[in-house]
Amino acid sequence: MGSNEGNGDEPIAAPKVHPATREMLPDDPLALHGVQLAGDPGLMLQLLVEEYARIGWGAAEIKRLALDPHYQAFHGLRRLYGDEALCRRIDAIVGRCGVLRVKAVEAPQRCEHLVQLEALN
Amino acid sequence: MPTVYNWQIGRSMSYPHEERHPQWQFAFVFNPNRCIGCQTCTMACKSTWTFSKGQELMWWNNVESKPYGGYPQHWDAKLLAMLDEANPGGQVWNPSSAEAQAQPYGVFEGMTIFDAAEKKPRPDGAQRALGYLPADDEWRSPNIHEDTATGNHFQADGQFGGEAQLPEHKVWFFHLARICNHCTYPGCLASCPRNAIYKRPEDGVVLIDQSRCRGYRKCVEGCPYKKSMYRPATRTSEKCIACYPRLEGKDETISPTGAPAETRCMAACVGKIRLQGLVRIEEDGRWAEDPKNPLYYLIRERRVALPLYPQFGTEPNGFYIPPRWAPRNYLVQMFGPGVQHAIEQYSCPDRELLAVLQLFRANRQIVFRYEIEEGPKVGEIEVTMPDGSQKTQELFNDTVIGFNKNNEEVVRVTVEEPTFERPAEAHVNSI
Repeated sequence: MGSNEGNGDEPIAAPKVHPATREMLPDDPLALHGVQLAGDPGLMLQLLVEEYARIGWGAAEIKRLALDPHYQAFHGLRRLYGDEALCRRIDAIVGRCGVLRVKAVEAPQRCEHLVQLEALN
Repeated sequence: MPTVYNWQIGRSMSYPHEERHPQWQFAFVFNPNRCIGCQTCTMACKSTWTFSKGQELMWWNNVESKPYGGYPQHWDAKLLAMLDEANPGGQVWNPSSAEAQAQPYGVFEGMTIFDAAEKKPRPDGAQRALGYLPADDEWRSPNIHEDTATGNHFQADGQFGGEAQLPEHKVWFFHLARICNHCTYPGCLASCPRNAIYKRPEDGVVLIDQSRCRGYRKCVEGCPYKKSMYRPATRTSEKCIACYPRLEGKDETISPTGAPAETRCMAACVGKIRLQGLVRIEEDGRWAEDPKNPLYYLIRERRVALPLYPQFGTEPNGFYIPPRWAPRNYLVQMFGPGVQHAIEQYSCPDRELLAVLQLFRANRQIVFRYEIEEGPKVGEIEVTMPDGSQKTQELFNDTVIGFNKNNEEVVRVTVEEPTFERPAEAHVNSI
C-alpha cells in the first residue's frame, strides 16, 4: 500500500490540479514577486540594433529576429512598439550606424591519419 | 583561517585553504550585449555532458535573462540578501584606490562569503562559505516566466500563438550566459568536507573527484553561483569540467597539432559572444603580463570585461562586457565599480580593441597571441555613447591574426568597409 493512502477509500493526498487550470494564489511559488527596475527600452533597442549591426547583420535580418517570439528580448520590443514603428526605428538606426563587415579566414586544419572528405571525391 | 590575496576585491581575505595557484588559468569573456538567448550553448553542453539519468534538471551551461530570470531561481538575489543581512549596510566598494594591476576596481570593504561564514558561524559550525541549498523546485524551471514559450499553436504567419498568459514587465533585460567560473578561490572547494574538489595545476579547472564525493551537497550550498549540482542517480555532485579533453588538445579533428581547443559551449555560440582562453599565472597568483593574449588585453589591460559578482570573493575567472542599456546601479551591483569605464571603452572601441573583439568565436582553437596588421581607413560609423550621445567611430582595414599555443596561425579577421542601408524614400534619386 502506498504511503499516501488512508485506511478507508479516501486518499489522503490532495487532488492534483494543474497550475494552468486554477486561480493563482497569493503564496503560490509560481507567482512573480519582483519590482520593476528603471530601464529605457528605447536605449535598449538602439544599442541592440547597433550591436547586431556590428556583427554584420543588416536591417532585414534584425527585423526577422524581432518577429520570433523565442528571442524574448527583441520580441518584447516588437510588442512594445508595434511592427511599423519598430521597423522604422531599425531602419533609422542601421542607416546611421552602418553594418560592420569582416572577412574571416581560418587556417586549414588537416589531420593526416583521419579520412579527409575531399579525398573521397 | 589562512589569508589569500584576491585582486578582484583589491585586498586579502580569509579562505579555508592556503594560497596556491595553477600555471595557467582557464578564463573566458562573454559579451551579453549581443547575446540573443538562443540557448545553442546550453544544448551543446547538455548533449555532450548531462544527458543521462539523474541529470535531467542539470544545466552546466545556462542562459538566464536578467534582472528577473535565474537558474536556480533567484540565486543571486538570495545570496546578496544573505550577505546584506550578515553585514547590514557594509557591502560597499571604495573605488578611489583603484590601481591598474593590484586593485583594478578599488577595494571591496564588505564581507565575502568566506568572511561572513567566519564571522557569523552557523550553530553547527560546519559552514565554511556563506550559502544556501536551493530547493528542488528552484532547479526545476530554468528562467521561469522569462523565456517561456507563449503557446504551442502556429498561426497563419508561422509564429507561435499566445495561449499562456505570463506576467509582463517593462521591456528591458539582457541575457546572461553562465557556466562554472573555475574560480581562483572556489566556494565549492572550500565547502567540501571530503576534500573531493580540486583545482588542476595545469589549467586551473575545478573538478569534483567522483570517487571521493559522498554527495553531502556542501559544494552546492557553498558555490555562490550555484554551479555545482547534485545528481540523485549517482548520489554525487557534478559540475562543469571545462571540456578538459578539448582544453588538453586531445580532439585531433579540431587540433591536429595538439593545441588547446575551446569548450563545446564556446564553439557552438552563433552570436559570437564568447572568447575563451588560458592565461599564465605567476607563483604569487598575479596574471603574468601578456598584453598580446586577447584575454589579458580585454580584462587586465583595457578592463572592458568584468568579473561576475566579484564581491562574493571567489575570484571568478569568467568575465563579462556589461550590457550598455541596463541601469548603472544594477550593473555595479553585478560587476563591481569598473562598469562605467568598461562601457565607455566598449561603446566606441579604438583600432586595437575593435580588432581584438573580432576574435570572438573566430576559431575553435584557443588564441594565445594576436598580432594586428594595420590597413588604411575605410569609413566612419555613428555609435551611441553611455550618456546617449552620438560619436563618430573611424574604421580601418585592419587585420587581426590569432595564433594557437604552438604559435601557429589559426585565423585572420579583417575589418572591411561598412555598408549603409538608408530608407528608400529619403534617397529616391540618389545613386
